[in-house]
Amino acid sequence: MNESTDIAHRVAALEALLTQKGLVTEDQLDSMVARYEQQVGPLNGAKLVAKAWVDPSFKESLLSDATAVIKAWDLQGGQVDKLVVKENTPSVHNVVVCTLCSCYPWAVLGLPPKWYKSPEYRARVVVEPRTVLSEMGLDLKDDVEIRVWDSSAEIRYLVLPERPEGTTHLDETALADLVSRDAMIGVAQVDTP
Amino acid sequence: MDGIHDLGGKPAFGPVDRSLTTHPFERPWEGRVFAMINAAGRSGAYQNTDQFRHAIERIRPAHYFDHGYFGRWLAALELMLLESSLVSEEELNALPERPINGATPTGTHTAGMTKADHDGQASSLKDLLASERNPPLPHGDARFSENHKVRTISQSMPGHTRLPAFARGRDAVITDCHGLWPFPDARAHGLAPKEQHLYTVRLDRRSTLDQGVVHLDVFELYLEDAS
Repeated sequence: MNESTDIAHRVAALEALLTQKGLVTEDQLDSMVARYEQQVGPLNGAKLVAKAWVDPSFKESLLSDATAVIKAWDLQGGQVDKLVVKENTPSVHNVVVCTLCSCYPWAVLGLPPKWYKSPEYRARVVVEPRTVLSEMGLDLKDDVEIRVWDSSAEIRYLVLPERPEGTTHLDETALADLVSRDAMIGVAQVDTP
Repeated sequence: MDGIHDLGGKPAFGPVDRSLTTHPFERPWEGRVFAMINAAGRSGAYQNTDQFRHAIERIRPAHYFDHGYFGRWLAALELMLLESSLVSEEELNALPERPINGATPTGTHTAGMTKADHDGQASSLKDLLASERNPPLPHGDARFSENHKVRTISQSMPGHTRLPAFARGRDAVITDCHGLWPFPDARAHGLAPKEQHLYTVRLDRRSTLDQGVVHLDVFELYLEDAS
C-alpha cells in the first residue's frame, strides 16, 4: 500500500466519524467538491478579460473597482473579499503569488494549480521573478518592469494580460477561449491563435 | 511566527515545475479534505480563516511538505477538531494509519491557539500599540496615504502574522489604501485590535535580485513613518 492510499483510508474514516457526529453530511461534501470541480474555474476570469479587451468602459470599471464587477457578475464568495486587477502593458508585467500560504482569487480562477502552491514558486518569485518567469517559459525584455503582488492580506489579485495581435476579428467568446489561467496569474502571455 | 510556511525568499529551492497537475484535486481524498474543512468551519471547528491558517503554520516543520497542500489541510483539520473538542484524542487515535504531518496540540486551551503563542502574541501586539514609532491617529483615521514613505517593522511575531519575514525591516512606499480590515494577527488569537488600516506597499527595488518590484499588503501596525 502506498502512502497516498494510507491517507485516503484515514480521510475516509475521518469523514465517516464526522458524518456520524453530525458535523458534516455526505451531500454537503459532494456538492462542495462538485462546485469547485465543475463550476468555479478560470473561465470566469477569462470572460472578464475578454470583455475588458473589447469594451473600454468595462475595462475601466474592472481596473478601478473589480470587486463591484464580480459582484454584479455574481462571482462573489469563494475567498474573494476584494479583487484588484493589474493590467499588463508593453512596459509592465504583473505576476501574483502568496508566499505565506497559497491565497488565490478562487471566485475568478477556481482553485490554484499545483505549481502555484509549490515551495519553489512561493520562495523564489519574490526574489528573482525574471529568472522564475524565464524558467517557466516566459522571457520578458530587459526593459519590461516586473511587478510581483504577494497576497499577504485578503485582497486578491488578477492579471489582465495584453490582447494578442491578430485577434481583431474574434468575438468575446472566442477571445475568452484564448485566455489561459496561467496568463491571469502572470506566468504566461496570451498568444496569437 | 517564523516557520517553514513563510517561504518568500527562502534559499535553495529549484525550478518551478509548471507541468504539475492542473486539476483542483489530484486525488479524490484531497477534494474530501477540502470540503470537510469548509463544513467543519460551519460546525464550529474554527472561528475564522486566520485560525485555520495558523493551524497550518503549527504543523511540525519537518512534515510541512510531506503530503502537499491538502495534506496540510488535513493536519490542520485534525488539530482544530481536537482543540475545539468536537473530536477526542481517542477518536483520532482510532482512525486508520498514522496522523500525517505530525501536527499535535501542545498546551492548548481553545481552538487555534496554544497558551504560549496566545500570551506571546498578546504581549507583542501590546508593545507595538504602545510604541512611539507608530502612534495611531485619533478617531481611527489612516496614518498614511498614497506615496507616503514607510518602513516595515523588523521584529517577528510569536503567533499568526501576515507580514512575511522577507518583507520585514524594508523601506517601502504606500501605493494603495484599503481602509479598515479585520486584523488577522489579532483575530487568530481572539485578541485586540480587531481592525487595522490596510495598505498595499511597494518594497524598495533592492528587495529582488533581478530588478523586479515587489508589492504586498501590510497592516498599519507593522508600518513606521519614514518620510
